[in-house]
Amino acid sequence: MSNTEGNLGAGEDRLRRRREPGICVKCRTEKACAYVREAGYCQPCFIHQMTGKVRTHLTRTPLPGDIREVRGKCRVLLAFSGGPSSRVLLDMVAHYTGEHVNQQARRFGEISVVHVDESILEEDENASCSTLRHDIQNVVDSYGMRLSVVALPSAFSTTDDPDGRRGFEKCRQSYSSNGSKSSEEDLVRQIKMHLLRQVALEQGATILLTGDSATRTAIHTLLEITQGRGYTLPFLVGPTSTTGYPDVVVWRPLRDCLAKEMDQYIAFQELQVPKNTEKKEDKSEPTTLYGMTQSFIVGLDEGFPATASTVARTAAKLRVAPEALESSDERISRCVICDLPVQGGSQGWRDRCAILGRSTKADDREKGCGDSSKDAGCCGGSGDSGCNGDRPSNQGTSSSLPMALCYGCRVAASADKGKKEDVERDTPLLWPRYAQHALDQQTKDAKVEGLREQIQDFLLEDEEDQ
Amino acid sequence: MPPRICALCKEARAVMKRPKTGQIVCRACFFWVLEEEVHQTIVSHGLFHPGERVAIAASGGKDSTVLAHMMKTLNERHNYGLELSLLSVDEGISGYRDDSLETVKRNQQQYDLPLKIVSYSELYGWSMDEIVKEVGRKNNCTCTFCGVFRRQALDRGAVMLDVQHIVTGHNADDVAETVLMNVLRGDVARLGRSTDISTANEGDSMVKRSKPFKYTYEKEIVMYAYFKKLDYFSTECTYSPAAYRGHARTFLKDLESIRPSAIIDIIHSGEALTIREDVKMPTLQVCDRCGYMSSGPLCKACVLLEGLNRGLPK
Repeated sequence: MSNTEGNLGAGEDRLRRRREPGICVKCRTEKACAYVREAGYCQPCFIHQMTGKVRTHLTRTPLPGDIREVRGKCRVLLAFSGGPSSRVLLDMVAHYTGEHVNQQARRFGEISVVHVDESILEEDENASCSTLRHDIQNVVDSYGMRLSVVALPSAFSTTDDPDGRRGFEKCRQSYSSNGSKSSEEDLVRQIKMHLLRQVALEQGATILLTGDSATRTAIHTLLEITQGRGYTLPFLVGPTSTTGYPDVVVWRPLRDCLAKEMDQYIAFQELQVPKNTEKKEDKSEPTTLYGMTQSFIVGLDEGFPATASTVARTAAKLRVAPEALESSDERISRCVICDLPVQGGSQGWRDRCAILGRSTKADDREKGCGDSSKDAGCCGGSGDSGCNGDRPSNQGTSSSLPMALCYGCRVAASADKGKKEDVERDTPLLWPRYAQHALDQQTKDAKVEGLREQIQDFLLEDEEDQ
Repeated sequence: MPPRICALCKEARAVMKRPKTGQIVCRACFFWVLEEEVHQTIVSHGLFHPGERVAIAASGGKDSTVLAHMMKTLNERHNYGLELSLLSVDEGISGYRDDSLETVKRNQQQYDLPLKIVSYSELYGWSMDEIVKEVGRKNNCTCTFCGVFRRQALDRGAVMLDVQHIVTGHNADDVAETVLMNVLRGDVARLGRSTDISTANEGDSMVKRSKPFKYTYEKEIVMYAYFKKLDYFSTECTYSPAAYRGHARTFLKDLESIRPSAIIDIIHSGEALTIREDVKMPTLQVCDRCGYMSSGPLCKACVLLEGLNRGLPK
């Protein structure tokens, strides 16, 4: 060892060797051919480190209690879009949890695959649909797994409109007249998740595996924060959303791997990828929140290579608010669109932050100005001069939207009015069938609860019989 | 085309569109709604108590000038019973702070409030010009010195003024930007408190700080200053670099252009973010040298100062 090397501390020495240009940081003998966050790997070491990360997730992540009990038997559904991430996930899951793995080490029972057909969103719908479906079927068949395909508009299917296409288009139109392209994108994401969960439920699967990479997790973290979904963020981007949905555990085993790593893995393993997920929007200026966030994270990651993994790791450190956790004896209020917990008081918060109405003198005369709203300046304010008509009013805030929406879905449904001439121009929103059904159910439950409250005093408790 | 009517009073002619809500409003309603929102923020968070002595951190810029104007207006209108004063920090940046302090002095006359100016030279023995001469302008270190020193300087100025509460002009854009920054940097310790409207009194030298403009859009503050013809200073700091924060700021502006409510939505998210109990967080300590709150044996200001005095930080 030379004198200079001898003076280096262990850390510095490691760093120096790590940065030795062109040599794999792991075996330190082979030539590096893949770079992850400035660290170079040879092909075998790259595959080893990547599979190691995913395998750890798949085999060591604690299973929720009720699933743990049926270890090796619980049914798993893998969401396969045909893109690079889900393609890698399919390969890894088949290799590390499939039927060839010995009985004791197996955590899962039957693994099946679901694909949500989004071809209705494509310009050349028929061409893209048939090719993609064919390729996806081939890939899934090669692993000997069962594939289910569910079309996006099916969330709107009725007896009059069996494939739901008319309902879907109407819903998109109602969103674009109230919101924007970003709102539509958000709605599509929510519908997709609903359909995936629905298929899981139909097949008796308790775990839904998704191919969210660290890059996508970072994009979604920022996107959901931007859309006001901080309350449910741990459910949306956490390693597992154990308690997020009432029926299925969403598991994201690829959340430690960057999108770049997926591409590299696919190239090394020579995997067939049915769908090129590169958005057309990338070529021009992004016009939606998702496009903007994606372009921001990807761009920043080039200059600061730790960005995506830092954001993804930060998201994993977030905790779900205790009141958002459902227990067996207490049901929580859930959003009819995304089915995640609704944060109490968020509409009041919004109305306080952005006052959209002002009671005029005419309004006061009409009302007889006897009402003393607690927060308002009129007849109830702290030291105001009384009924001068200067008080906030929440008229026109979002009265057309039901309270059964979470903050994020509410924003998406009514967003971007700021860019329009007149904020009060509301077009009635059309909902997916499941959301309308949930809304009707909530209304019915509220009625029953109201009736029960009226007769509460006359009902006998079970203990009184004994 | 008939004149468009204000969406709030439904009577007067609308002259502007609110960046926050997109509503078209008349000038009087714009003033009213902005002041009312700040009042609602103050009342709903119980920021002040009657008889409290409150210092307004005044730089002479648009945010602090509007804050001074609005605090005085609301204090009189709603009888908060506050004893207000202005507190400025002279970082010693020629061509920038000397000019902006002239604005603050004029504001003092206009609003008839007592003013205290504390300087870096007086507190630390170094002005920012001298620090820049010593450490250079590489990376973001100029702003590191300035930010760390300013925080302490405000606290020390508050002690000199005998106030326990400082209000700052941080607006909704600043708060949203901080949420994004902390997520991007993975700073979970700061993320948990980045949307707090007030810092609690912690440690011996800590003075409570509040942000009454937490939900007020920067653009609306500029509009308010413009329509009220307020006297403010609008030049960027001469040492302001293209820092990492700039990326978050640009992103936020892009988001706002697509969805104006994005700023307030980010704050809503930030308020709901909580960190898991098992995540290691820094513990609050007291600086061995100056007694200021710190995450280690020495506070950041003392570490930087020691380096400066020894001529180390290059």
